[in-house]
Amino acid sequence: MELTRRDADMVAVLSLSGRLDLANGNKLKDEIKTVLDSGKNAVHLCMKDLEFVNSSGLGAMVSIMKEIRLRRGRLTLSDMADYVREVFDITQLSHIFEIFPTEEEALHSYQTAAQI
Amino acid sequence: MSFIKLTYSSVIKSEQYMYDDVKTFLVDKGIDAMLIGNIMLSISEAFTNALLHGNQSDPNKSIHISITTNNDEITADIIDEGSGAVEHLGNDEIVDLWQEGGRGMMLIKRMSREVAFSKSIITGGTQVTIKFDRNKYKQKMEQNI
Repeated sequence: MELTRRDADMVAVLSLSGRLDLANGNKLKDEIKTVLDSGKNAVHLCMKDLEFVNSSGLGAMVSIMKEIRLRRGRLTLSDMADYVREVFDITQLSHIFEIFPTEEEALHSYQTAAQI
Repeated sequence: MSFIKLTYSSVIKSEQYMYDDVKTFLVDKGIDAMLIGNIMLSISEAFTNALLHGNQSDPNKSIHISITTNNDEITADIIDEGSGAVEHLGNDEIVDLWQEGGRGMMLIKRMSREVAFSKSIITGGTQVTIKFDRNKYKQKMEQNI
């Protein structure tokens, strides 16, 4: 799995590509920890190029969600392939993650929330 | 009928090799891309279970995968070299959405036609047998026409 990071105002945007599984879950958790330790607690994950996720990858996702909530932050997801979305739906994790169709819509939601 | 047999050491890096080997085999056999996704996810879940729980990440123990395809069906067997306990398998209920593990069996059951657990007569470990309808998506496409 490859991870690239860019910052969009107060949101750290991470783009995931490849496979999120047992071998890569810790890599994602480490990167999120780096983001949180840098003072940002708003994280967006763009999953446009994520080809594969299994239950180990989902476990890593739940772990980072808990860590971000612990720091009173916010995690959003976007651009899921149909297959990835199906895995989130089957496991009902789509109920606890904020999932947006596009990165643009996800980032816009942060601006809207900041204005309230 | 086509058949492949693969063996991997119980280290996390093996997952990558397994993924590439199995996918290459399925693509070569002309399996539908959506069905390949179902099969890869199911085998991945059984493989992780065999590595972490069956073989307890002991690099001296192996995980054996065999896949058989014919015109109607694809069967995958994932066998570890652990104690052969099967009682704990099969439970696919998630009580707490915030738990980090325990979703593998749910995914296998949803992605496959049939899954069965037994004690392997070859290794004495756990054998997970997963069956898929080869024409699953072809039938759906025909129904939609």
